[in-house]
Amino acid sequence: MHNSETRKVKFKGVYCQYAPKLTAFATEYVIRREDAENIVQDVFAILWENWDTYGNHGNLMAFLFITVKNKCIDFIRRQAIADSWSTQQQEEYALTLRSNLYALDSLPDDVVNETNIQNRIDKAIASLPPRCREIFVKNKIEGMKQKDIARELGISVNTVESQMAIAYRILRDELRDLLPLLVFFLA
Amino acid sequence: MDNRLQKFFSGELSGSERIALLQEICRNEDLRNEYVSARNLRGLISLEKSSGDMDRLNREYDKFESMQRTRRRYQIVRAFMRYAAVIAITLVGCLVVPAFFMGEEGDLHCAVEVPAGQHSIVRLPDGSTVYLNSASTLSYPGRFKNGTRRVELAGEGYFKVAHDSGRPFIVTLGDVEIKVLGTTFNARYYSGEETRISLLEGSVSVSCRNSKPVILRPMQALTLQDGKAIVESFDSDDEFLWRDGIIVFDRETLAAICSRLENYYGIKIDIQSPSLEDITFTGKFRLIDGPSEILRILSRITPFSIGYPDGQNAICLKSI
Repeated sequence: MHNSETRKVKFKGVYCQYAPKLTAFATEYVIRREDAENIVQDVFAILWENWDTYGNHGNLMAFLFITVKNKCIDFIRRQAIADSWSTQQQEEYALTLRSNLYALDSLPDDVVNETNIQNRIDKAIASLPPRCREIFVKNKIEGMKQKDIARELGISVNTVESQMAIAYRILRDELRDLLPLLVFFLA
Repeated sequence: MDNRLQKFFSGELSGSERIALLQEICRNEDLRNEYVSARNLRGLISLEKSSGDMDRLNREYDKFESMQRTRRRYQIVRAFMRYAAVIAITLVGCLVVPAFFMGEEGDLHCAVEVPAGQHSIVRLPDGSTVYLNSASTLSYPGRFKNGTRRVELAGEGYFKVAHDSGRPFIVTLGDVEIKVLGTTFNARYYSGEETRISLLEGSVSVSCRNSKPVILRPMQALTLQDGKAIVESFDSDDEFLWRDGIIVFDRETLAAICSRLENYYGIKIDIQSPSLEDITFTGKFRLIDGPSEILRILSRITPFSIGYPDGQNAICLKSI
């Protein structure tokens, strides 16, 4: 009994630490948030069932990341990207999924194994101009909507968007050696 | 970076512009690589997202946990259903299938096969008991019908036939048929050996293909040698000791002993010196001693050498 209690507490800790990150990651590729949530829930269900095998895994994040990534690939393949679409939205959805499949396929499994990746990204974010960084952190790290950021800071949504674009350009330059396909074509 | 990609990610493109760009991404490798870089950069940065509002996260987790419990319960029900299905199928198999096969027309056939080096007991549906010696097969119907009890034996069996004057008990050994009412007897029918029927109690009638049936009295044995039936008396129950796992040789030639060992243990014994074949031995051995031990002991009475050719289930005997 005691053992299953510790197990539960540990599992909940892992869930709370990683589920929001993994959901944000999956949303980036499968587009719809509810699909991303389902994928992440499935992966945590696997972890729940196999806690004895994976629970004390040295690099739990690496395991979760690879499993989520593979589930996203499965999900996109299953969506059976059709050649004809009845609406423009469907066509855009299917084409985006197809492009994202290329992205997932070229994303290395060991990218999160890099112990310094978090530091690298933190540092890169810290190097953003103050205003730009504030907007970027509110949006990407804290998960605030652009509309709400605009209202809170008393600026237009357009400004938020352009600051985000600037942030991405700087981050891309800072992190270019992290991904094999972060080969940049200067604008 | 392509200006359009930047606008794509910041949401500045119209619907048709987005589709045109995505179509081009699928066709143009350079543009695709740019898209992949930008998408994966976003993917990696998204992994930095903080856990945010703890209350909301707790609610989310509780939802996950209750879903897990439902899933678990569902799995238990499913596992239970699986067992229930196995039990149901077994019941149908045991009750319906035999009833179907044992109807007016059909007949369920049973066979018991005893592996080499072992022995076994079979209880027949009429209450008779058959002890089966090593490497023997007994076949019998699941239910005796039509006023006879017919079984078929290959190998050696010791029969204790339940008395039933209305239904004769018939054992077939190749060409030989033994007909009894209720009695105890031993029948041996191994390939390459003499067929022998020894009666302990009651009476049996033995018939071989075209010849006239021979009636045996208690303590008489019938041996078939080259198609001829020889009836003789015996006074010891040595030849039935195999039921207790004991093999008895009574003035038997080494050739005959080797045939018996071959049949009992499913091996090949090659007597390479003809002079050995006619040496006779008398003795008792346990079946579990195995052929090597039995031959080793025999070779200490009359010396011969025992060899085991590589990679063969065989034993070679040579005179010294």
